[in-house]
Amino acid sequence: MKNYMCVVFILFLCSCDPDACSEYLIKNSTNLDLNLTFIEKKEIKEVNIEKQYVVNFIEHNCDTGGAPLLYLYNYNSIYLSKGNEILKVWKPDTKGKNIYNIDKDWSVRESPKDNFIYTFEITDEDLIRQEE
Amino acid sequence: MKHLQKLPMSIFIILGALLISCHDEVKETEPATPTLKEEYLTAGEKEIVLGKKIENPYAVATMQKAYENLMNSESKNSNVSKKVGESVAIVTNHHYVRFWCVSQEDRDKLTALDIKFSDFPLDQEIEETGNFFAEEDITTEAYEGAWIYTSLLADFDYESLGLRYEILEDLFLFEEAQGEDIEEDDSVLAKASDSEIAFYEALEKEAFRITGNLEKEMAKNKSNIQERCWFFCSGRTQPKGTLKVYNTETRSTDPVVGVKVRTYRWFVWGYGYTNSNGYYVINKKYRGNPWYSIDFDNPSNKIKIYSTWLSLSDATYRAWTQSKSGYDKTFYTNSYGWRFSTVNNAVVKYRKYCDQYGITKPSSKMRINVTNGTGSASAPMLQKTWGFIGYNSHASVSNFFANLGFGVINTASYFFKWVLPDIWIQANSSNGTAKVFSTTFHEMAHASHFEKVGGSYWAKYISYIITYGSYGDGTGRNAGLCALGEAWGYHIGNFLTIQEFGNNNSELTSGAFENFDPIQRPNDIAKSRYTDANGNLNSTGWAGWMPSGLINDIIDTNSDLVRTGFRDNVSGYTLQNIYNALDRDVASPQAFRDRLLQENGNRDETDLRNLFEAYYYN
Repeated sequence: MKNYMCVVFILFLCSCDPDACSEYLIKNSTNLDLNLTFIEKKEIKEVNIEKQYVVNFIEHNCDTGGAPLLYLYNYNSIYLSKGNEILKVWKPDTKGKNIYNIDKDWSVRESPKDNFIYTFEITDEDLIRQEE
Repeated sequence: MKHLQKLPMSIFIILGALLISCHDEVKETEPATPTLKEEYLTAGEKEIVLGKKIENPYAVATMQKAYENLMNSESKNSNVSKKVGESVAIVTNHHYVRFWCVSQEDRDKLTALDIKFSDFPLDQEIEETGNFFAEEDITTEAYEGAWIYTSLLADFDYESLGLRYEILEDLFLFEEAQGEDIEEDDSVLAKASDSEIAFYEALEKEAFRITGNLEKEMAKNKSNIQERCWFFCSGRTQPKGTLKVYNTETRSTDPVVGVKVRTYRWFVWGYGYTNSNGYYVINKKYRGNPWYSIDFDNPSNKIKIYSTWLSLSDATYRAWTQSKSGYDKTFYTNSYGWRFSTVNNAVVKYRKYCDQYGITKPSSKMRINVTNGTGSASAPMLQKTWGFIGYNSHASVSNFFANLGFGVINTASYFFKWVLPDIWIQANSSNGTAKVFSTTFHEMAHASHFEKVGGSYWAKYISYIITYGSYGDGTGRNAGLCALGEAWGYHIGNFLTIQEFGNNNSELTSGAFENFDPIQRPNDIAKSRYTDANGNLNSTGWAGWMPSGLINDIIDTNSDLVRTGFRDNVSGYTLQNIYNALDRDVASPQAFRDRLLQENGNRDETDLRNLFEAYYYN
């Protein structure tokens, strides 16, 4: 049967339509508990990220044919806040480090399960720049 | 030609390498080899457990005894005329028989003659109902074949099948076992007078009594044992009913189209196929309540669905004993039959769309494995491709495996004889109807492409995917062939899903379908959908080095931006033009472009070349 399973395994590899997953993590490297808010015309999505913590903000993110790619340009703005205080606002065309720039400002690595793990790190520097 | 001859061996080397690594891993981690039964259970199938043997009331010897009891009875039962009985002859008119099948072809010999059969003995009690029966608890390596059980007219030419067989019992049946059309009924009952029917009724009842089956049969048919009429006076009824499946996208039920409904009661078989409304009529009348099973064998749409990788017989939903007047069933998402019904209906729809858009339908019956998972799918088309992959003969592949020292020759043999799926789809109901349809459309599109290009082309396709693990980065040998094939598959999968479920369906909206971002090779993103921050994959768009949005851009009349500096200005081509250009010698997007121009009088040539450049296929 084990050899049979090898043949089945090969057939899995023959998949012309393979399944793949990706994870999108937000790493809060600051010492503040933060809220990350995505603003769209109709909807608002909020993610709470405790200090020095990592949040996977899209729970199930697999697709047939290829790992899903995060696309944020549908959102008008994305901001970081602590309570009612807004600490940082990103717009699609914000200069410098920008959460919208998945290719540039998110790190990516492959996990052993062949998944892609993207991470965006929020640092103290991001918050300081906003204050400036 | 030379490179074609070399191709299979390169595949062997790759297969060998994979087998080597697999073998080594298995050595360390797997202490025992699971049996066939264990594999079925792991795949989520439920075993049919048989109980004790039932004494057969229709055995000629039993019927003869019942006859003698009636004729020698002192009872003054007015329904039983001994004078009528004197004209009745108890003779062997059927056989209970079993055939030994060592391959799928053996089973097909019986189905080709419309002979219905069972994978388990017909004279044993069913202790636990389920989906599979394993006569012996053995591994696939040890698997040599299986008995199948049926009943046939005594004068049937058994030798003509060329199968080993055993007659298990001589039978005296009142009805024809395999069931012709009712109009052609030539059975004992059909030819009997009223007084003879009364005698047969008493005879059957006596046969059931002396074999200890009377009370069970009465209970099964909800009749009173004290009633004198037994089954006959309640009339023979032709079962009919409707099959439906729940559609998660429309939140309504759809008819299950073209599948076989099979009935069985005491060696008498009947069947019917559902029409476009899901309605079926069985070709037999029954005096008692029969077993029902729904076989996802759809000859008019040329598919046979199997439930696991190991399955020897087509996927079957067994409803067991139901009313003789008919059985209605709706497969909801919690039902074992949902995934088979949904894929079946998707194939039926696909074939209709083929007629509408001028695409060739797969011509021969395909084996589609519909397993209970989520995720990957494939169209290896192994029933037709295996010869090309397998260096033209099963023996040479077996020898190849054997020479590698893996002892997989018997396993390979199991595959050659029984499995060889053409399409594999994971269709757990959590996917929802739109996704299952989309995947089925995609894989069926590959099957239509296969119809044009054939096995050697497909072997290159499989070789590419095995070599690169999946789609690769778009630069390997035959990457262009893969890019073109998948561009076709994704276009059809998505386009037909939108046709079927509308512009705002849960799988891919029309807006997202049109928003494709080409990526330059090499790149690991072959084809991916965009997700938003909520995990919605259907509404934004997609991207990749595979030119998956290309066909839509060729056909549509929009002048949209493909990428910076490139607009899609192509127009005037149809889906049929596209399909016509997917020829056997067209193995890359560029070759496809050239064939498209050649076959269509260089229509809109500048814009078309510009569009291919926008997708990085200059």
